[in-house]
Amino acid sequence: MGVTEWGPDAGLVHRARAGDGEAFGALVDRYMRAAYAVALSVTGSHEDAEDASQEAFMVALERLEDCRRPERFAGWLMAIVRNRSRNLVRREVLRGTDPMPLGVAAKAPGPDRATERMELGERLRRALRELPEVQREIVLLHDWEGWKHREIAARLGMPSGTVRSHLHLARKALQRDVSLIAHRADR
Amino acid sequence: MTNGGRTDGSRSRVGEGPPDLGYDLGVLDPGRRDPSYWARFRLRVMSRAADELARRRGRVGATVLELVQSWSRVLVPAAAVAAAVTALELSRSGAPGSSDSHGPEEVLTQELEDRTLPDFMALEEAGEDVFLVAGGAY
Repeated sequence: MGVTEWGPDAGLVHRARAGDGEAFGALVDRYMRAAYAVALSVTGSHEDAEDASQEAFMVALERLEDCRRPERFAGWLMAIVRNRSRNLVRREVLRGTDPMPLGVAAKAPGPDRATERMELGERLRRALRELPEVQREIVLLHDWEGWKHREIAARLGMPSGTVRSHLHLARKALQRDVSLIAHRADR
Repeated sequence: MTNGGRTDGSRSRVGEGPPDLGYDLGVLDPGRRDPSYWARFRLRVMSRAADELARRRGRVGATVLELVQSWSRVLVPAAAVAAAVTALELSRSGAPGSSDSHGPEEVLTQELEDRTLPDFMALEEAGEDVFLVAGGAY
């Protein structure tokens, strides 16, 4: 799991424990997108997903000694991301604020493209909202971040068959909901 | 966001994306709107992590010193106590005139050491009783 030019996760975790910034940076490179995707699946908001995923890296660094199986760093990190994201959502619910919509462009290439992307983003956001959290997470990790079934299974700690099943259901629901939303918008 | 900027060869989905599903989750990728997004994301994480990483580096150096110090904290007093006890024992057992460690044979012969047989004969002639005690089995 997690073997790249930097070597396996376990080696990077051991080095990061000793304060090796290069090793920690490699872990950030490797998992920042997945962390963001998991955070997005929980919060449904770009800003919250960004905050939660960045915060999760800080928490992970501070608690690296608690990662008892460094070869499974990814799964451990994703659990932290999920918890931070849920805490963030809980705080926002208590504050009575709605999450920011997905697809808000900070530096959009042009008004037409930006509008189009925002519409697409909005459709997907609505469709994703309808999915159970675990399906949102799996479909984002697989179809967006590019993790394979067995990677998701190992990192999220569930059987590969369950991952496939969740992915299948999530895709069907997304296809149906996105086309439904598009159909309604066209009318 | 399919593997944007990733160098991991084990995930060869760069540009591949999922099969035609009727939706593209990539529109949710902040890196698609802003190509420098992930570089800035990483930079923010790394700058926030700098203090903790420095603390960890300092701790590694300190750990060796702490280990030696923790050993010395235990070993030095223990060695001092052991030395004091040993010194006390030596001073007690090695003191001149001390009879604590004398056995029965030494007690019996204590005052006879410097006397020779003619001395004893002289004592007998002077009317003093002399008992010669033989030790051992015959």
